[in-house]
Amino acid sequence: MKTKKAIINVENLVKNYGKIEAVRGISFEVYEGEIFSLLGPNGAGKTTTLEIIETLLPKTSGKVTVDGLTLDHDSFKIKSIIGVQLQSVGFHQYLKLKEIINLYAALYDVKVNPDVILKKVDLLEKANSYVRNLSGGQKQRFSIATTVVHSPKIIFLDEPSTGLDPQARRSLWGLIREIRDQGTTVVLTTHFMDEAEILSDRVAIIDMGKILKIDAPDKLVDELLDSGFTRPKETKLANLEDVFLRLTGKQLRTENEKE
Amino acid sequence: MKKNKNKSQIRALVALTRASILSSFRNKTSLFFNFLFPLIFITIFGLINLGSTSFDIGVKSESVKSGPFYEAISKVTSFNLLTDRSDSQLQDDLQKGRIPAVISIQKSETQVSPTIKIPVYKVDIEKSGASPQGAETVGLVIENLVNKINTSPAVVGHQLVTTNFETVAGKKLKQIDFVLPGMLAFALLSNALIGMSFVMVVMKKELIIKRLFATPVRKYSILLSEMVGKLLIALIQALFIVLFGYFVFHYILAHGLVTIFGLMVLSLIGTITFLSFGLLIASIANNEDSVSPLANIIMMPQLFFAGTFFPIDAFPKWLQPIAHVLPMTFLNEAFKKVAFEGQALSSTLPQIGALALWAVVTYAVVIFLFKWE
Repeated sequence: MKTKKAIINVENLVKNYGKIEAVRGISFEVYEGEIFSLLGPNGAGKTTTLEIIETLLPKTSGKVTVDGLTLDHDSFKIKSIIGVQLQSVGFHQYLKLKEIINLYAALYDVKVNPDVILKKVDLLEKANSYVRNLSGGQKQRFSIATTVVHSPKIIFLDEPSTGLDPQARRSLWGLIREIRDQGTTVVLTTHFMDEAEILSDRVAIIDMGKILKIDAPDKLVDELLDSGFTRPKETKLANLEDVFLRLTGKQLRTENEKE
Repeated sequence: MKKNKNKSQIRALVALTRASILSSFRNKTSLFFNFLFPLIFITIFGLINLGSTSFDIGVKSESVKSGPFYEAISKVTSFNLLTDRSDSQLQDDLQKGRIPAVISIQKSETQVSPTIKIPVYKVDIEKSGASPQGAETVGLVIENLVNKINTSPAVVGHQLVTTNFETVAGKKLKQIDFVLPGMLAFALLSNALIGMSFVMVVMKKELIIKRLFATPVRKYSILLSEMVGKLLIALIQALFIVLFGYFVFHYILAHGLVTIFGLMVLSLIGTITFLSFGLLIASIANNEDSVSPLANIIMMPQLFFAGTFFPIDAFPKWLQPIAHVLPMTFLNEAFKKVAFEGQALSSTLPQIGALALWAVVTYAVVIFLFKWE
């Protein structure tokens, strides 16, 4: 990983809301082509950090560069090379999926075939539906579709799997990996340990507006074990989620993989 | 480079405007208020004719304001004699159907025997063709009066009062001609006010605007596209309502296509002003629930006090100055001038100016109050 080039640089980022210090001087780098997770509890400052990089929130201090563009001077250029999924985002309620994709294509000033984009997120058959008629997982996949219409260099996903059932989460993870494999850098926030561990190439553990540790999930675990840590109780090699997926999800997953 | 940037902003603007219009046409509530609601009102008023219970009768300046006829007509309670207007003003009122009839009374003398002369009053009545029902009623009442005087015992055998009816050519105007402009103005107001405020509040609340901000679109393109969208809807509304009135209820269009053009221009100006009130509500309201009451506070007084259903003169004295400066009153007046009196668009400059003043003031407040999140 270390040989990779950094595409996002954050240095000493601070964000205060009045007297509340939401982000307290954090620094990190995101490498090109990786899935980078900000893992932390609610209120840790994950969304605030993300929205500052996304040009949606003004920062209090610090330096942010995205693909060589500085946030202070080139926020409009940054907007056109990133794709943004907000937590609980809404879309025009009277527009069909296809029309929304076309709208975003126009906003990013690119030409796309909405069917191709919708096929990517497995929503081709919903092209003429409205967002309100989608399930939670479909909504999230559609939201991701709007972030990739302009083939951005980086996409930001804010808690993409919150509220989804296990199958929908797995299918979403598959989609996120696919996007990464096509060369797009992915930055996401999560408070799910499994999501951070399974999906991310590197994780930044963030709490109270500070980053406590950044590394690959495996390395973080190894480091902990090296320090002599043992779990108080030995866990089984499978857990209830595996049981659940085995009983309910197998078929659905193989179907998705066929696509 | 700069040129390309502008081009992409225009593409974004067009796409957002298209989204706005599509949404308006797919939203059943907005369709109802924009199109069906005005049609229902126009149909009701097209089918019924509200008779006026009191008539203004113009009295020409050179008239003799004494004698049995003048005394009798003064006592008719449903008549209101206008004696302070100039003849040319009366003529104008008559032609436009503002008053149903104008009378002039001349006095002369007639020799009934070598030694006895008696006064004779000649009454000329000009009736308005523009207000046929009123003129008819007034004519009947006057004839009745003259008959009574002439058959009274004191004058039997001599015709004391002669009458001469004349109908002044005027356009035949109907209830719809008074009501349609007001309904059109109201439809435009509700589209601009409710449409704009709901859209902005929902887009803010549902984070649609925030998501748009993450794309390289200028903030004001988002606002502008909604405004352009609402203006196009306003034009469609205006054309639809005017043509419906024209084909179904023979709504008067003094100069045909020229008049329609004038009405379209006025509709656009009115809607630009009304949109400022929509944005004002969007600036104040936190959610959809507070939009409706705020919109009603602005809309309802205008529906009733802008002279759509009742003439402003019929309101209490203290209310009239307020009614006269409502934005919808100005638009209503301008519509009537163009469609019904057949005046040129330029004659509505005072109304256009007043609407522009409202717009300037309200947009200034909006710029101060509007929040994007």
